[in-house]
Amino acid sequence: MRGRDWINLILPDELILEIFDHLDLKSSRDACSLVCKRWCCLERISRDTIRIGASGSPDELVRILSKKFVNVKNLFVDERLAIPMPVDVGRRRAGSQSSVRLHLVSEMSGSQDNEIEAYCLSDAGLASIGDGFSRIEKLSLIWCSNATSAGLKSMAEKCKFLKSLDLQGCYVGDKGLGAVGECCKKLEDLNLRFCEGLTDTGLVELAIGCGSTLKSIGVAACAKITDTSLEAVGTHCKCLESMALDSEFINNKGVLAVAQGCLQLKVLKLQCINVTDEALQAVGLFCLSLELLSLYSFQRFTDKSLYAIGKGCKKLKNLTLSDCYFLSDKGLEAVAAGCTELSHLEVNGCHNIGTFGLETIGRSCKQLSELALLYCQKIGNHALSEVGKGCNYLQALHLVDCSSIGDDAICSIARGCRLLKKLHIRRCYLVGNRGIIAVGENCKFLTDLSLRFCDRVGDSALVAVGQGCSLQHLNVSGCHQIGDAGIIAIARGCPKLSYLDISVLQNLGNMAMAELGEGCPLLKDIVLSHCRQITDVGLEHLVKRCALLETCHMVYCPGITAAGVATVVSSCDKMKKILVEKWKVSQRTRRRAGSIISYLCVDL
Amino acid sequence: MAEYGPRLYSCCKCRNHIALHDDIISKAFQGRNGRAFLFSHAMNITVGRKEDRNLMTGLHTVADISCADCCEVLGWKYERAYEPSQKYKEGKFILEKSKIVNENW
Repeated sequence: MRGRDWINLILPDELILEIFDHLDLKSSRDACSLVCKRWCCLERISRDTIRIGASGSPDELVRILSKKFVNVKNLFVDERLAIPMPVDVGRRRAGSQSSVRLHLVSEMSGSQDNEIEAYCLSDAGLASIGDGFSRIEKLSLIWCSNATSAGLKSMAEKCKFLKSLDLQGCYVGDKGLGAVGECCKKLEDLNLRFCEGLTDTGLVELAIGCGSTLKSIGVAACAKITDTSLEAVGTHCKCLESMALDSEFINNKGVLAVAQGCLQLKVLKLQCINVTDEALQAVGLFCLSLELLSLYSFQRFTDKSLYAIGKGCKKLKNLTLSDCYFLSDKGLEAVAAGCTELSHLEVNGCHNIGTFGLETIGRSCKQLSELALLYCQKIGNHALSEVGKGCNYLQALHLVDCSSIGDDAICSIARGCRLLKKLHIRRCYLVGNRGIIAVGENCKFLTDLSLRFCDRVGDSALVAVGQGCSLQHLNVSGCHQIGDAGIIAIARGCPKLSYLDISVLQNLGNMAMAELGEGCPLLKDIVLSHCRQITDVGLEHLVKRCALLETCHMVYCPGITAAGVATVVSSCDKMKKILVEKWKVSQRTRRRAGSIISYLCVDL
Repeated sequence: MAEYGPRLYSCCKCRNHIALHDDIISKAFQGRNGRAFLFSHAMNITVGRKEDRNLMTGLHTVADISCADCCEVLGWKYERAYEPSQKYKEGKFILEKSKIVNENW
């Protein structure tokens, strides 16, 4: 019946609030608040997350928002994100700020003289956060270059419930961090990145103040934070579970202190070139609960570290070794023998790790679910044979630039790891049809397949995959033997396909595009770049049938013209991004859809 | 008296010998910072990780090359080319003119 509002008559406030709690997207929440005054009030009460970009007047914005949304728990301020202005103010930092200020002046209630324009969040803004968002639990300030200790202190004094603080690119000083340590007694999570004003003093005070609750600390690119801070962390933060360090100024002493003091450590990520075996040996000795270990770009670690880890950290589940040049098969063997619960392993650019090390992983780590081998020239087919035999629960395999791995390896994986969901192979030039056919025949749960620049793979592989696997994500960029037959098989066999990258396929033509249009209505993203034979005709067939298309990349396609681009724009109303050459976009198309079109930029 | 010997190019930072003048295929290339030469062969270099890049001449798989002694990035090596007209570059090296100096001549 017209004019009758059933929902508002029957549902009480509490139920509507509960329904709003399930809304995740800002756009959904904004839409609900436009329905009626009651919904607007209720939605404002229930909103718990606000993200502020570079708005030009963040201090005012915070004040206004804090009056409207009183129950906010998570606040993210990121001055790097430009937000679209309702009025065209030209360059944001030029003198034409008046139009934006006019909009907000009417809301300012007799505040003080604002001669100094605060383009970034300033101390006044932080004070407003403290006043208005006093129940906040999670605060993230990214590149708020005008914020200082005073502001942080005034915020800390009011926000007693703060659990998580993330400062990136802010020049706050030690007093501010010290104040957080004194006032925010529930702080569990601290992340500092590019905070060049902070020295050991501040972090030590915070460690003393919040030591009993701190669970996770991350320090990256803060030049004045040294081992002294870490010694304080080791002494006071007995509940610490996660530590991430990226610094040249931290040495063994600091990491040793954390290892010896924080016995409950579960996650450790180190990118510190001055740290050596000594530190990791301590980790292996003391941190027996360690579950995740990531070592990046260490030139100085040797196998001794891995012996210690294998001996002590029996609960290790996740290991990442990136550019660790001195680690060899022996070290990996020790980890394999000791850490049998390993489920994620990534070996990236460690040139001395070869076939034998991976074989031991295959034999010992039966729970392995994700394996990534990047830039490992020495690892050969036999390694993956063992993994195929032993790791039957493998769900994801990534191989990049592994020039010695070929069809034998892929066949073993296919036959042994039948639960495989994700297979990504890039530039492994020995992988061909035989391996991928085995995947199609055996891996029924495969949803994500990527075979970039594996130029021995051809149509027969895709036919097998189309018959055997219901793919959602397929990338065959650069596999130039693939032609219409392969893609048609995929179109007919994978109706749930939502992402497709067929770029750099010289033999692919319009027939495949027509079949894709018919067979894959759920297609959201497509990359057609460098396909010389695809023309406007094929493109039209595709876009007219795939109504859900959101992105389309079509650079270097000589057969696609301005007419084709216009067709894409007019047929796909959900389109969010088109990548194409600038000269292919007509004036009319630019007027209709300028904001979603990106133009190609070439490297020299 | 001038020395007579093979005409060499060296790394601009540490004078490590990198390539022979006789190995030049073309002097008409564009590097990141200006002119660059295409060489059929280069020595004493470390080849970095492969990357797929869209260059002015099309899509290529390249790997940056750096001096083996001082790690200065000197140019790149073409691993693969995906346009038929660019295939001749595969396996060859680009050295940027600003990064190499004449040695012995």
